[in-house]
Amino acid sequence: MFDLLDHTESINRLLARYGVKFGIYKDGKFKEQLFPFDPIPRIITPEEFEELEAGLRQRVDALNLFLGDIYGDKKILKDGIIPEDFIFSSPGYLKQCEGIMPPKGIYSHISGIDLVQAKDKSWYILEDNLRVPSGASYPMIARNLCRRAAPEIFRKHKILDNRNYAQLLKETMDYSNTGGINVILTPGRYNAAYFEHSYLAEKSGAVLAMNSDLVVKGDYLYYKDFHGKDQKVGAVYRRISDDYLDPMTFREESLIGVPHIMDIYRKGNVAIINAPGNGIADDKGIYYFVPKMIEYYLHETPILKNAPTYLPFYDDDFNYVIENFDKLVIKDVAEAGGYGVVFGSALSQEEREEFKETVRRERRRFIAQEVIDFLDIDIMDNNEIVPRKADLRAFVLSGKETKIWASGLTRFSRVPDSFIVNSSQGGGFKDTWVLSR
Amino acid sequence: MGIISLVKANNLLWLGRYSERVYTTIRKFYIEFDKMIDNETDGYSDYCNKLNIPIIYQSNDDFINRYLYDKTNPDSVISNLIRAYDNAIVLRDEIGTETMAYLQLCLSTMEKTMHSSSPLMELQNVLDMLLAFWACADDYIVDTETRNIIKTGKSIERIDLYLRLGSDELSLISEYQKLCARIKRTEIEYNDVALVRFSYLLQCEKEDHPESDPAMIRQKMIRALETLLDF
Repeated sequence: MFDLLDHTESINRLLARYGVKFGIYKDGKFKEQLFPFDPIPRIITPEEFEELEAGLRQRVDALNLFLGDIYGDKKILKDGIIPEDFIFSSPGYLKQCEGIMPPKGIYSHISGIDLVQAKDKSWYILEDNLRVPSGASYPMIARNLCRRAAPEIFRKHKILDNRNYAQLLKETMDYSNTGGINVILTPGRYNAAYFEHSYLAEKSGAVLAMNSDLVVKGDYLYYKDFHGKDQKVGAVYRRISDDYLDPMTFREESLIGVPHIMDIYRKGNVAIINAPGNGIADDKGIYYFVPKMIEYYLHETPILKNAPTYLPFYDDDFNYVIENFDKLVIKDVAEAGGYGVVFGSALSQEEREEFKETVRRERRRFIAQEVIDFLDIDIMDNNEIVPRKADLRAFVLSGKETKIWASGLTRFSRVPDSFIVNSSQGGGFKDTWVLSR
Repeated sequence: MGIISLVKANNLLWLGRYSERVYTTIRKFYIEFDKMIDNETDGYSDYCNKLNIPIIYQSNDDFINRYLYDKTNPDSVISNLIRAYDNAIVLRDEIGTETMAYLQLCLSTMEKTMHSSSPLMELQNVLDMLLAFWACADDYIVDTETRNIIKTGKSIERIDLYLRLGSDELSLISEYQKLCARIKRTEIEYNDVALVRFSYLLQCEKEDHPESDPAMIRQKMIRALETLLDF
């Protein structure tokens, strides 16, 4: 594995050549940045993967059942497993999706589940991303280059090939497709994840489309080609958020959506991947209830653990959070991308008191978690191997079966002792090797 | 692949045009640069007039620097290269990552030459990358329509620049024949009359028509070319 270290620079150079970038907006300006790649992989043993696979499948299956229930019969609310407050006050809950059954009953086709490994090697789920999770393309293209750079390693070690992601994506789209072509709907090249949109379109054979290429006519969605012919669309892997998806249903000022797409989706004439309304299931407040969902819907014991989490909404948890504020991490449920995360210990006395007051006022807005002592993993920093915090985004694809991609995006912090691994905040990425038996 | 929207067809055409604009203007720039070695002042006005771009430069050195590298100058070589890249980046699924990579390399190389002590020597690498880009497009783009739209854009731009910068007749005829073959294979709508007119004007030039001013004929050819496509 260390043979790869000699090739760090050349692999990063090739990643730059292929335009492997992500965009960020800083001071109102769009800037494309390279996503620094570290060649030391995260290695997952077959035994570990077996557990992860079973746990992730179980979790995503339960989340899909939850979404069907919430936008359908709402049994989980009637049975008092989750308080109604957590559903109807969540910005992720969309009343426009009430009663809609997506094609094949799948809501979350592509789920990005963030995990961390503690020092005792046990895995904890940090969050579920069921809206538009991104990141699979990075390890996919990096693997290709690593195999070129150090073929001996891949000859010697039995590492499961992760370059099948586009094929898995295609199968997932094909399964839900209602008849027609597959398209990937992008808001355009100034989106942070535009590289991924275009790369996945290229590799999966889906057509990369912008909203101006798509039109709803009658009860169907069409892609307009330049001859003036309309191609029927059966599945849209949309990489834009719910709010902007359809100006006739959601934000009317949206210029990147497809007018009336929700009307034909409601009729079952197109699959939208992932389904609108999924935000209710990856709300940070709902995260607390996922183990309960697994027990409720599947009658199984959760295989993977949540990080110990407290909901200030409940009095006992609120008191615990106030008393143990210094040792907890507080998260704003409305934020993402590493924003809205506050470590109690990092605040001054005055700031702590102020923050506690905010929590007291807005108890539904925050969750608090014990700080998990992540297992550090090695990275190369200026020709030196140093330990850094890292997480793992696992990708779960739900089609005919629920499949776990045998890889994942390992993101790491480049700052010593920092727990914030997001690329938008300067983090890098690694490949994730799953060893075969 | 195989289903191209109007927006993408437009991007493909302009990808061909801008990449060609960078290629030919760098090659022509070498000739102008050579002249400027012996001509201390204002060696660039004629070149700018031919291209119909504003003369905003203060000196030969200013021209060399700003015409090549000034990103705020819309007529600079680097601005045209950025436009080529902007068109390519939205076409990854059509032209492929490998093909796109050469334009990425081209832009990175251009940016690097900016800081070189002998940028004109280094510019050869930009030309090499452009040649590799076209070779890759030829080799890797399976869809013939996609390929032919890029090449149509390339031919239109090349003819336009040849006409403005005064290329020889044989080069023009050769490029015109390529354009005719390519545009017919694209299935894009084009103005057939413009092609016929262009051919007639070419013939006039070839026969050294006694009543026609050669410069006027070339102006008419440029106008015929401008009416070839509607997008």
